[in-house]
Amino acid sequence: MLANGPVLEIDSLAKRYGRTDALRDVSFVVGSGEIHGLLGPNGSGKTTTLACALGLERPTRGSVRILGLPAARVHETNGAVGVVFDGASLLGGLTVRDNLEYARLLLGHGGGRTADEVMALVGVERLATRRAGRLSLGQKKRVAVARALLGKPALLILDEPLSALDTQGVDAMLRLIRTLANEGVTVVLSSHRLVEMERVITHATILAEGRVRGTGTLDALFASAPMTVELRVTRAAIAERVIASHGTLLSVTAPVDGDAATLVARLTDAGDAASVATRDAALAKLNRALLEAGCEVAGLIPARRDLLALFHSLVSADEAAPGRAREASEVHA
Amino acid sequence: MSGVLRTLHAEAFRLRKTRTVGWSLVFLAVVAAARVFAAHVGTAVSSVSANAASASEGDVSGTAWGPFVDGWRTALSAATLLLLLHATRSIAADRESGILRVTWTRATSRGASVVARALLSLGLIVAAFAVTGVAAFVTAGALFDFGALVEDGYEFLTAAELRVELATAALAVLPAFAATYAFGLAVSAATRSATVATNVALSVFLAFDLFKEALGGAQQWVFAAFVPSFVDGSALSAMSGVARGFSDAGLSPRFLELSLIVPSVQALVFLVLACIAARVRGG
Repeated sequence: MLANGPVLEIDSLAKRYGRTDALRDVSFVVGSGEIHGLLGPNGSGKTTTLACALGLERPTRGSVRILGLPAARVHETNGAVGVVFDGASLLGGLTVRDNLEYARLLLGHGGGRTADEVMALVGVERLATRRAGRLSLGQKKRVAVARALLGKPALLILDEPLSALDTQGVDAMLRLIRTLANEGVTVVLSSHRLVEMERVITHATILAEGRVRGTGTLDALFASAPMTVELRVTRAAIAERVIASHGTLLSVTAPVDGDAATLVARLTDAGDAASVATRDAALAKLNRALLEAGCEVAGLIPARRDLLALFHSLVSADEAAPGRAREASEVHA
Repeated sequence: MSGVLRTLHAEAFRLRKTRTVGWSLVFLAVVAAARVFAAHVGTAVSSVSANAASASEGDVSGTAWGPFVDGWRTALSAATLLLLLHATRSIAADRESGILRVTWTRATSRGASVVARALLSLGLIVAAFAVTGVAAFVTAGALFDFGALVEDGYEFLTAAELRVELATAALAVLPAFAATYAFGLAVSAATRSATVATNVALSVFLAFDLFKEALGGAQQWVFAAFVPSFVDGSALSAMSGVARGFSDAGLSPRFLELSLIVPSVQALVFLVLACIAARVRGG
């Protein structure tokens, strides 16, 4: 192990391409043993963050330390950082085994896992003699993971590890990630597939439009997020005004029965949403205000505490328009 | 240094496994042999014509040297282009496929991966020289006579003298091959696409080939003037006349000096540029 402190430290990172700010003041820390999800919709800056973290892109501002070294010297970690990029990056003309042998020669490792061992670990032994160029995208992805495991990495960075995988492939990949984490490997993975990510990550950094919207353990993120509620009310126009004084209206369905509507709102005065008492008090207060305004409340349902809801609340925190909420929901697509 | 050696080892493994280099060497050997065989066919036709005209032939030997040199340099002209293509693809294609990102994050520095490729090219150049030379020599030996260069009883050069001249010319060409490869590497390191890299390098190289005669003496300050090509002005080209007894003037010391120094210096400059481009361009 090259460092005793954080495995990955990203401080005030900014990256500009021409006139476009891909990253703005991105800071987060990944500690040893974490399964850390870098989450956000396409174009949110996940891959750029990882590219800067691995020294492949030079940041416009800010600093990165990976296993205690500056990002530009990541190759000096001598194979302690395993990487899988979105495109798999295999030599198409070589067999799977030769791809792994090539990577092993580059690492120059006598020790660490052998090609056969990593193939067995990832379950691609039967592909050993197949040319990499003829594999499916999912198979390529698994071979790339096998390659990243050569040399016993302490930190594994996976960019969109679930893309191109079918349901079984996703399950196998998540199992593998958990197994590796149990062996002490720190895993950083970027993805826009929140539902699957929630099954495996212990920590998350949520990115949108190049900014960090939240970072920490999942529990801490859930606790810090404002509460989102779904309301079914009559006199929707009045209800919207009431809600505006209690929080932010996120979406309104078209009224289906006279002036009734379903509204989704984020309560800004709910405080710590993890506290049941605070949450219930906020709901009661809103309910009372709606009734006093003459609205009939048929339903007042707090949103389930999941990553998708958390993402909605964090990403749309600055943009209250229903359109923004709709965009955020596409992260799940 | 260990990064260079590891990369060199891995790239050599990759070359062996992809078989592209093996087939390219076979192709070059066939080109060399075919060129010699074509000369044999041409000679046979001329001989038939001469007999029909009852022309008398004096004592002739050493007929293999001319076809051998032409076969060798024709194959080396093809080797020039193949090496240039290999160099231009090497970094740019790996950047496109993502291999560079994996290499640079896990194993070696950018500089090490460029230097390792340049070192590997020396092996490729020597292999191309050896294979084309042997193919041309064996074919010429089978179809012609490798004795002293004698025509009508007059001995222009002994076989030993010809061997020395040819070896000198071959050595004079080697640095130009290294410079050509380094030029290709620099272009490759500076571009994101293998297709663009190949187009740029070939365009520049072939354009120089077309314009170099117009440049006169000035062309001798460019590495490409010393490498066998379609409009060949290399040391081996001069040997073609010597090997046929058209000229007994070998390579001038000035030409030899330039052909060793200019491409060597430019090869180093291109290598440094390739390392800088790799640093700036990223993966």
